[in-house]
Amino acid sequence: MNAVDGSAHVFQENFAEELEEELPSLLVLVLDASPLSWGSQSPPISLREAVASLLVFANSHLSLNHSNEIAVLAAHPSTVRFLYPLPPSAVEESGSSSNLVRDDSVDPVIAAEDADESNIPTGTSMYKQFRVVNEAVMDQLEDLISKTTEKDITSKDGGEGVSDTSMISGALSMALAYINRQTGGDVPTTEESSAIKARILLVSVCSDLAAQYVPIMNCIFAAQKMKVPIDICKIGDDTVFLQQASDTTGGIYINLDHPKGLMQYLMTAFLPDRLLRKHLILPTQSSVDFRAACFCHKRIVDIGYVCNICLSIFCEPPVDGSCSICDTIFDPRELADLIKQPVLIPLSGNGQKKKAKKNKTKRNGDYDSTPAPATPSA
Amino acid sequence: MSDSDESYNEASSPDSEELTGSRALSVGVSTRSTRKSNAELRSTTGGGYVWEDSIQRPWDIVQEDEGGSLANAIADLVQANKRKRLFYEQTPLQRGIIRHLMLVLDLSSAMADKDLRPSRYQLSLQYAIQFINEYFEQNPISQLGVIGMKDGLARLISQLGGNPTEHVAAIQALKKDEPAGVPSLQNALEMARGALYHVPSHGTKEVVIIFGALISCDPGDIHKTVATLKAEQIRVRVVGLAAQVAVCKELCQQTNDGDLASTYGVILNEQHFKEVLLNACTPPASTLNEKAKSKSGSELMRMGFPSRVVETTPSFCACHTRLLKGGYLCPRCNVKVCSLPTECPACGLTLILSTHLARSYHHLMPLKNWYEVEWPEARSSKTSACFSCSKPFALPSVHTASTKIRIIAGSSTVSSSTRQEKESLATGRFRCPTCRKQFCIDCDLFAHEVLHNCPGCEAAGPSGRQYSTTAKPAGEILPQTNAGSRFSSAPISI
Repeated sequence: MNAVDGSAHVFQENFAEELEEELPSLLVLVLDASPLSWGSQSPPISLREAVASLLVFANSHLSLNHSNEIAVLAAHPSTVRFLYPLPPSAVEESGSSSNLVRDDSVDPVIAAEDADESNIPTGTSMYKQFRVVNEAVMDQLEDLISKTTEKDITSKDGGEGVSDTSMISGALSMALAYINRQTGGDVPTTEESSAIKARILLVSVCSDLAAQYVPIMNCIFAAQKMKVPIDICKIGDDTVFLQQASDTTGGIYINLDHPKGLMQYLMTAFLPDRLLRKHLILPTQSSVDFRAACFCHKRIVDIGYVCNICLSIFCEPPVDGSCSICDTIFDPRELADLIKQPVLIPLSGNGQKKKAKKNKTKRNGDYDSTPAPATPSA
Repeated sequence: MSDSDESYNEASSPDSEELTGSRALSVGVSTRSTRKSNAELRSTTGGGYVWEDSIQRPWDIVQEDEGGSLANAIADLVQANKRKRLFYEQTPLQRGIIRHLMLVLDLSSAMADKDLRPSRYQLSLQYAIQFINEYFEQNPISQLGVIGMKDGLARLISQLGGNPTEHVAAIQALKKDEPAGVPSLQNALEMARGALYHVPSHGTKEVVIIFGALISCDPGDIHKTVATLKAEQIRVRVVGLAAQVAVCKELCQQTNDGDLASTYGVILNEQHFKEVLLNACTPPASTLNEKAKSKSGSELMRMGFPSRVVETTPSFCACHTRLLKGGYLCPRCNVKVCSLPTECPACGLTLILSTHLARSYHHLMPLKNWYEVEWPEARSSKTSACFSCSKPFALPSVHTASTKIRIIAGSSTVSSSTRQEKESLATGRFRCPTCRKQFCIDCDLFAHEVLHNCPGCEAAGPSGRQYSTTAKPAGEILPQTNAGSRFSSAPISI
């Protein structure tokens, strides 16, 4: 390509620029730990393999910059919990097991850390920070999975069947709250830009999030306000809400074609932080489905009817003239206007007159009776 | 429902009554009552008139702790400040979500005063821009227009429309002008009335006036205009920059069913100006009167949810005739538009993204207030960290010990030590009444102001969710299934 000198010069220049701007970044990993989705469904990658890849990814994130931070959350159908860093209570509970929390926490943590030192099997040559993260995540995840009972994954709607839906909305809410704290919710800084750049990576396996629509939307808007991109690494079927999440917040959405290669996807697409992404060509979504699902039949609609009181979407005007969600009674005249079908003019001259007449009476405003759609019968 | 309604009234009204009461001083109400309410006011809003304050020296407010560090003292101040903002309206009210608002700016010579920095004129333009941005963020499917009052005339600054950048650009252009002449409320109101005339019945019609002058120079009888506004159900809010003006008071009272307290605010200082103005961003609650008058208040709107396209060759958009490679196609007529929400330029269908609708949901379903956990309860509970951010809570023993030292060591005045003692009484733990999880103060603020979710309820699964979807099997998709019971079927009057 270019002369060797030239390209080297360019590279160095860019590199210097990067160094100047380089800021620590906080990555919040949200792992969808729904046992059913991982176990029974199509993804040909086991949870164990995926966690192994994620840990390598987490370690490489930590190794990019000395002050990079990471937090790992697991979303489960029954609960959401921090895998790393551990909340102080979890540290106390787990006692002697090798766990650690961030250094600036309270006394019990330091005690646990001290105990931890003695537990190190000699001969481990792993960087301490890596080991701490890996062990905490593995311990907590095993604890979580082993404590999962049948009750946790049966659907709570009182109906039969099992729910494989993790509390993604809860996990995102907690991730945002954590980011809020780490980026200066604690000590408000005067300048707008926070000292640490945060982002969220969600590894999602379950596809049906319809029940969490509004909380997830709230999370998306909060993330947008906080300028936190939400990256989505999707295994399995596409989820519209998550596509919208990454599109709105400026994150990356990838649906893995080859889930076995999770590691490669993570390393190439999700590892670069926000500053670096400007210089890379990243996978983009060409089309995001912004169509809405109606509340009455869950049909995907592109022209819908919206109740102006509760903003719920319907695929057709309600038969009884009232909103099925908020019980508002709609104005019958306005409703009639919506129901009105285009009037077709039949070819025979006789029918034409008749139709025209009918139309005219309607214009004149006799709307009181509920009008039947004026579809020509023949 | 009804009792929570009352509590809302109690919470909101006294504050604002004091406001208007205290400012009546300038127009000559008895001084004794004003002084009293002023004192109350200072205690509630954190600042009266600037010139009435005693001299504040920052080094008097901040006390060093035993280690000579200011961190603790600053943290205490920050906490106290946060605590003030902890109460939010939580009654689900029926609101007019689709709003049409005319913002009226006073551009008369009264705005040249420099009692607000840098000047009334510049500051109000700056806040107007913030207001517009905030308004469209919270009400994405609403419209707004701007009118100016100058030289006794009303000038249309920007048309009623849904694009914030146009309005902001129009106001930016005003910054170079100088305020001049006298304002005419009547002219401005008539122009606003004209602009709002064609608004469909499902939308609310509002006027927000930033009024710096104490006079209005009108060509006719303004009371007639007020009566017409009332008949047309246009609500008027006024933000007064100087003092209470009788005609504004009447205007607000008449057009808002007698609700003066929340609609007519006379500002105290810059911060308060911003608060009063941004209050108008929240969609107004529907009132019973209004409902009764307009039979057609609620209706179904036909809306299009366009899909986004990415093209390899650029083509013109129908709204601004710009060459673009992508855009949104109207589902009815396939015309390309470049930005949403908008009305299809060809077929007139309202085009919107479902995310825009979702942005307004938190107005309809506000998050419940969390209550503070008392020390006895906090001591007995096992939780030692905030549920959502896992920040450890202050431990009771540690905290009291450190405060004792601080009080002994600090050679400060009596007031500061009592303040610190009071601070130590607060646990800094807040509990959601639904999921019973404990949160720190930062998460409380964050959840109520930004997130509008309770992380605890969300994490607990469908059973613990506030707006759970257990009721109807068919409507599983959305929370409003339950919302039906939350908006009582009869509209709530405020």
